[in-house]
Amino acid sequence: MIRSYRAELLRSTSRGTTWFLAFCFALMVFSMSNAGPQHQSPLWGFRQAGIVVATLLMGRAATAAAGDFSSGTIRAWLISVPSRLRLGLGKLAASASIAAGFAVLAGAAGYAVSGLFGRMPGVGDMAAATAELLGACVILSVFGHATGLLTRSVPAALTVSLAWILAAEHVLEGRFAHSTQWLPGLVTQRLTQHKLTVEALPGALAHALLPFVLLDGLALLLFVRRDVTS
Amino acid sequence: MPNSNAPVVLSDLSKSFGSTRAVSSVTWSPKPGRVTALVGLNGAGKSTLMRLVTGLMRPGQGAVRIATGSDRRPLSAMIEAPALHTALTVRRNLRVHALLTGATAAETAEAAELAQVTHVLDRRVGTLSQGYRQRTAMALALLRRPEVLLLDEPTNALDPQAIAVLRTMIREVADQGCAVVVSTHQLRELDGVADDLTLLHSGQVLYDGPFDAFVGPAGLRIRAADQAATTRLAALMRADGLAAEQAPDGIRTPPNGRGADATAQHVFATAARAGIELVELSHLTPTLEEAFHSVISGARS
Repeated sequence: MIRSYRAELLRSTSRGTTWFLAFCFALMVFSMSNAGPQHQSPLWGFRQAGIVVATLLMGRAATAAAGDFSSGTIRAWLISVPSRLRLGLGKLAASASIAAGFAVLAGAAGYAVSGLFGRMPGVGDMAAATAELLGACVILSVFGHATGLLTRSVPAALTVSLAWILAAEHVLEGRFAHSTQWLPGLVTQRLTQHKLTVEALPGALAHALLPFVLLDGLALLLFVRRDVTS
Repeated sequence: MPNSNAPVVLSDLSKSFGSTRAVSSVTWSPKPGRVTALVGLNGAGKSTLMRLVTGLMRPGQGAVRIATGSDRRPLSAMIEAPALHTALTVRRNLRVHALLTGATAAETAEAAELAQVTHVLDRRVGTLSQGYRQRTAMALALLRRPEVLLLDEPTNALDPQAIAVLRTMIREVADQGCAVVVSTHQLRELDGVADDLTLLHSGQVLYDGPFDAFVGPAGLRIRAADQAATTRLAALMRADGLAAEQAPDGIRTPPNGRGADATAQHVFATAARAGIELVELSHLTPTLEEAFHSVISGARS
């Protein structure tokens, strides 16, 4: 699994990925710069951009998982690594690591530039915001990876994942009370916006992560058993 | 019969897609150090068989046994079009798969050299020609010197020069002890390269043996001094129970149970009794395509 993990990380270090992550960071900086006119702090702007960036990283994970089937590169990977479970877990871990790594870098860089847009946040506050962003990015990357592996098609994976996070959960939010406490996307959004108390955090993370972990488990099981015709 | 000590052994392998039996009870193993041509019509089951061997598909019945324990990679393959990361350089594609297969830097360099891609290592795969992409895919497949190498239609979309390079590469890899299996429609490209031939038809193995023996004799061609004598000789041969088809280039008699030499002596004797002078009596060798179609036609009937 370690080999698959390292190979996926190496594969992901392309110019395209670098530009994409730079774009995500640019969005965060824009949000931080936009805080002033709204009489808010750069930290507030950082947090507002969190769910957007986490959603984009979800799309990246979905594309990475499904793209191998669309392009046919999954054939070469499976021939090189006969254990599909190890391969799938390695790729999942890599997607999550890229999301986590981005969050840490974005937090550090965001702290460095925040002084340009207003009062610099405290280190502790920024660290908390970074940890929340990290959690959100990892949670949604797990979901993106699952949709990619299940659908084996980049358009389908993006459609399913974005439709769920951007539309379906918000429709359900309007219909069911307390949906923000148990729908994973909405919980993740509250996480990035610092709306969860410390006491509620473990339960909230479980609500957010568990459904996606189970979905990924199902995706991995099907990946192990289904024929690859790409 | 497959060699149980072979690195890869297929035992009674079958695969169906709905009501279509794509591979039917195939028992087979590629032979180390030899190039096997896996041939068959479209839909014969060649690609399906390769996907079953590589684990891309699960068999409905039977098993693929892959021997482990050697330093070398037991099995590698290049299935259909080259599957490369086009945004990455050749070097990075090799490094990714070196990580996956556990190949060392030396083994990676060896594979790159064998596939003749050392001079394009720093080029993005997306900028390479089809021929070089094929070579890059070959380099990935050659990492850690596999014991069995499956190549599914490797010459597709390649120009004649690239095909010649690929043929040389295939031969070199086989000479290093690898069992190379090449699936192709282009039978002529394998002439002079393949040692063995496995013919698939409707998912079943119709022939599995030496390439040269597959072609086999196609009977005799006989010519007399003139057309009238040839026609008379043909009639005499038919009267003697020999099949004799008159063609523009003489009389053709197909193989029969007696053997070519005995048939030739019979024809000599018949011509001598009738006072007919023969100017040619030669063995016919069918083309590979003729042999192929003959076997397929026989299977269909």
